[in-house]
Amino acid sequence: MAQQLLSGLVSWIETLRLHGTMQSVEWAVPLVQTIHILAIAAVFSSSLVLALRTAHISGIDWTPARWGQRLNAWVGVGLVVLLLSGALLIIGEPDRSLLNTIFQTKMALLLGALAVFVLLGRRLRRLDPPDRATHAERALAALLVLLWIAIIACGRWIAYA
Amino acid sequence: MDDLLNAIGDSAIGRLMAESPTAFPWVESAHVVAIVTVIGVIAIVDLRLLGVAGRDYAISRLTKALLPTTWIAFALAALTGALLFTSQPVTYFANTAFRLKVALLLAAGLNMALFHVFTMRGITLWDRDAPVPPSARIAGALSLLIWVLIAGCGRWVGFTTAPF
Repeated sequence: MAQQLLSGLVSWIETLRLHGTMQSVEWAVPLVQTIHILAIAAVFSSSLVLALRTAHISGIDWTPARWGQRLNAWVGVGLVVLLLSGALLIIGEPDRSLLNTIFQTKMALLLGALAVFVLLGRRLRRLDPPDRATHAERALAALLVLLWIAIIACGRWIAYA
Repeated sequence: MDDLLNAIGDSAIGRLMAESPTAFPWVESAHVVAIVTVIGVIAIVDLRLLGVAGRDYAISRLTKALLPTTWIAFALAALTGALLFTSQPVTYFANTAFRLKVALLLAAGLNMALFHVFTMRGITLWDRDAPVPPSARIAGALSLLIWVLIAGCGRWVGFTTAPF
């Protein structure tokens, strides 16, 4: 059922003018992929820096909550750009993405990463004392980094599936 | 030069990277993780230099805090990049985007070296909660631009040398 719906969606996307443009303009796909990678750079490095601070390894001049405050907008903008550029890549090659198991795994991992990011942000804001994270926050931060690594790997493997 | 490139391609590692169905994608995944770390972490410092964000974090402390992460990620990016190169050295070496990427990496290194050797000399005057001098702002802007172009060239290399 879900597969049929997705196949129908792929067929509809292939009728769009934007799909034709993404297919025919030679530089469109690598340009959008580059933007996608730069957005990942913003989101992943922010998560990594936050995780390193939560683990008390680096960036200790600021509290974890202050780091979260500094990087939240960066992650937010990164996620919006990821969503838009990802949507364009799907429109360009819908059959290669929507019907691909690795792509579907990537989307599930993305939902997991977003949930962990929101949960971690909330916990960091309530820390007492404010500069010391507990084992739970450290574990969440490490999980967030691992989820992003898995998402990036899935993104690359979509090309080979 | 051709002999050297062919020898790299014919080496055990070169053959593995070219023939194994999983080696290239795995190494490429690690390369992407490493390069997005380098670009993103450096961008945090660049934006601080531009006075856009984090002005209450001392620049000298911020660079010191983030430098180990940047270098570890850069080492991983260089190692995985070298492994990817061995899969088809002749093709990569002749590729314009690849050559441009290497030139940009050298430019990024030079920009960073000049910043650390010359611009950072008087940092005590503008380390924290103070306007950053134009020389440091230019270094930050150049760094951002160069790394964005490096990402673009990297993707263009993949696009022009492999059918993915």
